[in-house]
Amino acid sequence: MILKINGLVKNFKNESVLNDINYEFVSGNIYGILGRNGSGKSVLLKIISGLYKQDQGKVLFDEINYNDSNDFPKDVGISIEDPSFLNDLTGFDNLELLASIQNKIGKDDINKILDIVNLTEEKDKKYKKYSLGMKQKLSLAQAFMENPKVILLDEPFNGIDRISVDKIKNYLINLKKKDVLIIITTHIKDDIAGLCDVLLELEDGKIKNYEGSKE
Amino acid sequence: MKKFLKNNYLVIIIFIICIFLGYFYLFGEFKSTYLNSDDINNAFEMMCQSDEMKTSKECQDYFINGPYEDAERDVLFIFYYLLDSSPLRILSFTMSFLISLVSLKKISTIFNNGQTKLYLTREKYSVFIKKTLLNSLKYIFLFPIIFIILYLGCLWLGKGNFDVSYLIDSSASMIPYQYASLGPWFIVLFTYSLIINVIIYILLGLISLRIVNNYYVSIIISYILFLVMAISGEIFGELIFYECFNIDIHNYLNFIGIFEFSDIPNYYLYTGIRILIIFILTGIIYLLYRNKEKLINYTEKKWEILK
Ligand SMILES: Nc1ncnc2c1ncn2[C@@H]1O[C@H](COP(=O)(O)OP(=O)(O)OP(=O)(O)O)[C@@H](O)[C@H]1O
Ligand SMILES: [Mg+2]
Repeated sequence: MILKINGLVKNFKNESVLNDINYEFVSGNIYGILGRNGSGKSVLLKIISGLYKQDQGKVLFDEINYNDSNDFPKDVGISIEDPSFLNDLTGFDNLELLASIQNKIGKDDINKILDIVNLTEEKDKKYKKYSLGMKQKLSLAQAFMENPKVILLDEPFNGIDRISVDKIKNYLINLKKKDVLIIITTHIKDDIAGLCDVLLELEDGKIKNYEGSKE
Repeated sequence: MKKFLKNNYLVIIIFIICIFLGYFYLFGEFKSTYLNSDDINNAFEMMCQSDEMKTSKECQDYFINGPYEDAERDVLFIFYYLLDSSPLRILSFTMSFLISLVSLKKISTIFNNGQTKLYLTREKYSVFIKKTLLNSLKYIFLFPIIFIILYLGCLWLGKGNFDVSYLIDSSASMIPYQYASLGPWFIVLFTYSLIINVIIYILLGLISLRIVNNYYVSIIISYILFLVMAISGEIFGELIFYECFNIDIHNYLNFIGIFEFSDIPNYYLYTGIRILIIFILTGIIYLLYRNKEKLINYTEKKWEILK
């Protein structure tokens, strides 16, 4: 799987956020994208996942362009910022509801994923009673659960405790070995240090290799 | 079962209250006023007990003819009294509100907490939006079902009598001959026009849900839209069509008196105008919901006003 981004441009009203992004992401790698607040990391991931539309340029998943037809890229798991689920359902029921859309997985798969993000104990709690970290874990769980070939994670470790983070990182490394393409954004380099194969930086609307990454 | 009750409690409450009010009226006030003669008989019995009244002409007549018999009314007469005089008559201008109350709840929850984004990474936008919006259309049948159940009560009270001569003589203003003469089939026509009106209410709700992303406020806005439509109907009917072109279709543009068929001899014009409105509203909804990114942006911000 190759995710190719070609001449991507995105402006909001009077603000240019992404300005000619070109990059080729290759599966079997974990990419880290660093950038300060407001540099456009979330917008980039939303465009890749087809939630936002670029003004110019192309996003190609193995040469297939989903973005132009209001479609969504297949086999992509996404955890976007401020995760939000239905308040009155339990964590488990929320995942089940989402899984029912594509009907690819069953209860066992959901339980397996809940275990990976360390949320098994709280899976029968109502979402509205979740803490920040639990909400984030549930958001990761929905991104992982349907065995995607590409995983996009926006600030994935926000509010999650060290033990769980390590467990999730191990899981990601395992996925990478199974030829999954993983892209992680963060503004804290230490969050993803040691995890990523390639570190990139988003600055002034452009992607470049992170200066320190070659050391 | 528990889940069903929890998800549909508003529908169930509205259903029970309407059925209760309707039957309470039919078998209470209506029956004692228009059908039973007990009251009048009792009055005579009381009056004619005294010696001085016994010899009066009224009492003599009463003794000769015997007590009054219960009156019989045809089914449509009863049904029309239900629509016109029972507490349910307020539905003609509150139905829009009640329909928004039940039909916007689920969609509003989906739009309101960013759930949308999670759906849209799993299904095509067009599929998602159609499914979500069409969900509200299932409430089309709430009020028609209520009225059909009440109609059964009228059938019972009227003993299945569709001889409408009395209805036509006594209250010509309520329902024109051509509708009354449909007999039992009138309910079909009534249900059909009710469904058309309800579709309009639902569409107004969907428009208001895209104007403000808040359940309660969008209900209010949808009611305001309903009033705007009603007032525009008046303005068009009175000022434009009548004053300028001397065409009197004022009654066809009355969006509040949905139970009144009195001055609308042409049923096709009546439904035609409403179907045209449905097409226009559907077009507006298409334009409002067409853009995936705009909708996502809208759902990301609570209280967002139309962008
Ligand atoms: N829907 C939107 N409408 C208008 N402007 C937007 C929208 N989404 C993002 N922006 C703007 O685009 C810029 C980039 O936003 P983005 O959320 O991608 O930043 P980020 O790198 O994810 O920041 P953070 O580290 O705080 O999450 C910001 O200036 C933001 O104001
Ligand atoms: Mg962000």
